[in-house]
Amino acid sequence: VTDAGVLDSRESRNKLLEQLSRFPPARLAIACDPRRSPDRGSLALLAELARNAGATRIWLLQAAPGQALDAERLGDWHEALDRLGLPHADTSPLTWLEHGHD
Amino acid sequence: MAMTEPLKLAVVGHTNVGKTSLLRTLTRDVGFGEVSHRPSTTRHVEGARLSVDGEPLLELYDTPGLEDAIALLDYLERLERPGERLDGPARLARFLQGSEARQRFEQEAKVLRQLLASNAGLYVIDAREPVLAKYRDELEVLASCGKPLLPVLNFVASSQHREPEWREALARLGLHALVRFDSVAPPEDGERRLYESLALLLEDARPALQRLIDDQQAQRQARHHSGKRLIAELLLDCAACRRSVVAEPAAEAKAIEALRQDVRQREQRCVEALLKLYAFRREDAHASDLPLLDGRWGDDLFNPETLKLLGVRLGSGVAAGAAAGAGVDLLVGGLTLGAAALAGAIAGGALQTARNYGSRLMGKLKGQRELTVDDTVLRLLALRQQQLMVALDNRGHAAQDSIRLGELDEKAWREGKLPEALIKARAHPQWSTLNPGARVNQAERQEQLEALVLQI
Repeated sequence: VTDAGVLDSRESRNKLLEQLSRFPPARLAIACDPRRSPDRGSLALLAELARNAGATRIWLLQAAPGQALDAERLGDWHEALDRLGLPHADTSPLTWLEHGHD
Repeated sequence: MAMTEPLKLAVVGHTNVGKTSLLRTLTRDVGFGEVSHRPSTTRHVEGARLSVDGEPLLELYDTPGLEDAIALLDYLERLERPGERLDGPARLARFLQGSEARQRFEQEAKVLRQLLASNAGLYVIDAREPVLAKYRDELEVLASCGKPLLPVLNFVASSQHREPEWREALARLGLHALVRFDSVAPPEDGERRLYESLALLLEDARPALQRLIDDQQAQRQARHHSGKRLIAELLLDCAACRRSVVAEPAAEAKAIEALRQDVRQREQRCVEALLKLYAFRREDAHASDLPLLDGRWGDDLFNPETLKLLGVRLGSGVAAGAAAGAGVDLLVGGLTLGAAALAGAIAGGALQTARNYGSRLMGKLKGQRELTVDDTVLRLLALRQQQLMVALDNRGHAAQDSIRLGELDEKAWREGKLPEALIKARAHPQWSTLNPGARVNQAERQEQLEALVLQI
């Protein structure tokens, strides 16, 4: 399992996409902060990353202790990810990454 | 210098940051556009015009949210041919002529076209968001339009806002002027500050913006006065209301219920008039923390719990009656059922009452009792309506959640002596529209009404 880093800027996105296209991973887990809005740009990036991996899972991070996620926004994320056909959960997919099963 | 053309402003920003909400608040139009938690709710450019004395001064254009600025900036940079250096507007012109402006970046193209056609842009920021690269790229794309941009920090009323981070990031991009404007709980002078900041960026537009500022100030004051008048009318109507009932239990019970119903309805009319005055619809009162439920008070006026809730002391009517020597008064849950002949004495002095009723009428009242609205209910009405007015005044026209109601400290209305005008009204049943034969245009009533307005 390799940590592919944090995708923030255009540069980091392009670098990772290039790496993935050269060495496509069997399994890819992407952690997303569902407090952000699931905008077209973010969803396009997720779709593009997923195209470069054998299997992809989205990990929707839980709220920090003492905070709550906006239920409506979380619903928007679920809907958008379902539309893209990307499986998602709010728990760490580390076991799956290592072994290919839960 | 007078402007011949209205100033055009494009309201731009990332998706879901509250652009439409800002427009609703600035235009005081709760029906403007569509607002939801979903990304890209606004798909087209929509405009609204603000006029003063029939002269259009400002046009505001709502635009779709930017959603993919990182990819767009990447694309824009690749539009330059080898050895070529285009400036921002030239690069955008090439992009807008190309096919991607109709396909992948259709939404972004709409925004940029509108900003190019405007005098300036208001860049709305959700100040709760961290300063991400996508926002910086967004600002870079927008800045390439060559139009002044005024960042507007929305949601600064939230405890989770990151204003310092945003200020620093904006300064690094050369944007030093910015305004804080929470579209849900706009600061009292929010609009003035916004227009003043714009005047710094657009010197030519200063006179028009100043007129807008002055006009809005005047409107706000006028609304304030009208609102107080509506409340004063309600209080006077209820204080002056007086109904005589045959001294017989079944008739009394019926009259009590009828009067309660009339007072409830009268209060509801005041609520609706206030909502209308502040340009809110009845359904907007729902799902908000205006002190209303679906545009009406959730707590019944005649429920003793409601009195406790607002801290009104019970029984002041009994005390007043006892002091006037009317020991026979019964308090029937917010209403006072008194002996008819003594009723005036409780309220406004025996002589005055006798004059007002006339001796013939006084005779008629024998064997009857008088039903009036108790002082505690008047206090409750005064407090509730003033609370509503404060809430409406502080509320932005952005139908979302979270606005905190300031504790209304109206000790005078809670336990002090009721205003003179209301005490006088007790002896003038013809001042109340709840009574048959009301004469609301009487000079003395108008005089007392104006006096009451000053005490609200």
